[in-house]
Amino acid sequence: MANGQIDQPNQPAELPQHLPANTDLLRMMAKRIWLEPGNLSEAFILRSDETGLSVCFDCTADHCATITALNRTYGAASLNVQVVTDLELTVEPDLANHAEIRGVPSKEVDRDRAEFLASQLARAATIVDQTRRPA
Amino acid sequence: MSSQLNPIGSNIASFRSQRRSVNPRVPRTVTSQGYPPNSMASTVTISSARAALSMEPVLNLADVEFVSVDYSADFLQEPIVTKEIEIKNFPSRARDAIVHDMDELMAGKEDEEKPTEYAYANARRIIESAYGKAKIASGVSTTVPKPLATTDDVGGIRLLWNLGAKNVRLNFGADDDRQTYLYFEAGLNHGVEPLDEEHLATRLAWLTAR
Repeated sequence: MANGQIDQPNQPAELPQHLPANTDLLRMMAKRIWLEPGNLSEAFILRSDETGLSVCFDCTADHCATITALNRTYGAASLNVQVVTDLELTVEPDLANHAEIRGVPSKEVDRDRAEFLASQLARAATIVDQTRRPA
Repeated sequence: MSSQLNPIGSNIASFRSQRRSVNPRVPRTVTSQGYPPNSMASTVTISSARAALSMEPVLNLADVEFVSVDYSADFLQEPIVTKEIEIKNFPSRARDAIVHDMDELMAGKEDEEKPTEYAYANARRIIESAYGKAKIASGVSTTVPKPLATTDDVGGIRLLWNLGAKNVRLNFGADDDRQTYLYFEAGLNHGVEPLDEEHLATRLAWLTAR
């Protein structure tokens, strides 16, 4: 979907309830400026229509771009499940290779925590892909 | 500079004190060197109804980046370097750059939502006012970086400053029902403040303080 919400055509029969702590998560970069130094925190601010931060696991950035169905992406950042849970957040799989980081408040609800968590997640994340999709 | 090289140096103070008492309505003449003036001239002669002054240029004008100044007769009568002349990264220039970036967002920019009129007007008012205050207080002088200007998904404007371990983020809500705030962070020290010119000017000074 163009707005970044996830298509759910065929939900697999079995989804892991919890991901192992050492699982790498991919967060797609929907804006080019998120790749610039100091701006990555913007990638972890919840949109007004989201219940959690969309991430992929056990897949490539190409596949993640397909799953998230964003119109355009500029790469991906990777972070570890352990880092997320250390911030008292949860990672909840909802599709094959897709999960949501839950517990991040909207900036409309809790401004301070929303901004602080965005900083902490950005600090823990590493940009691992800078491919523009579609090219 | 010795008095031999600059025989009028000791007269500058007395000239200034005399100048203050001169009726500003009385025309004063400046010996013209044409326009633009010859900045390499060895001596500039300035005279008024009650005083006269000759002086040597103290620096190369080509090295000075002047900013917007109201060029009054008083300005022309001043020696070249005074504390009122700001050089490089003047707050009004930084402010203009931010406004320019917000204008680009309003014009439509790839990846970004178009800001609402509400967010734009609010952001512009506070930025212009805060940088004006910073200029007066000289709390923000030469090192404040240009922020990133971006939008949220509903047309609010976000301005982000990063300097070392310090962050200042402004969130201008898309409308009156959405949050407008200033967020600051330095390591684990963080918080939210009202977003107005006073808090922003103070936080920009905090951002650039060593």
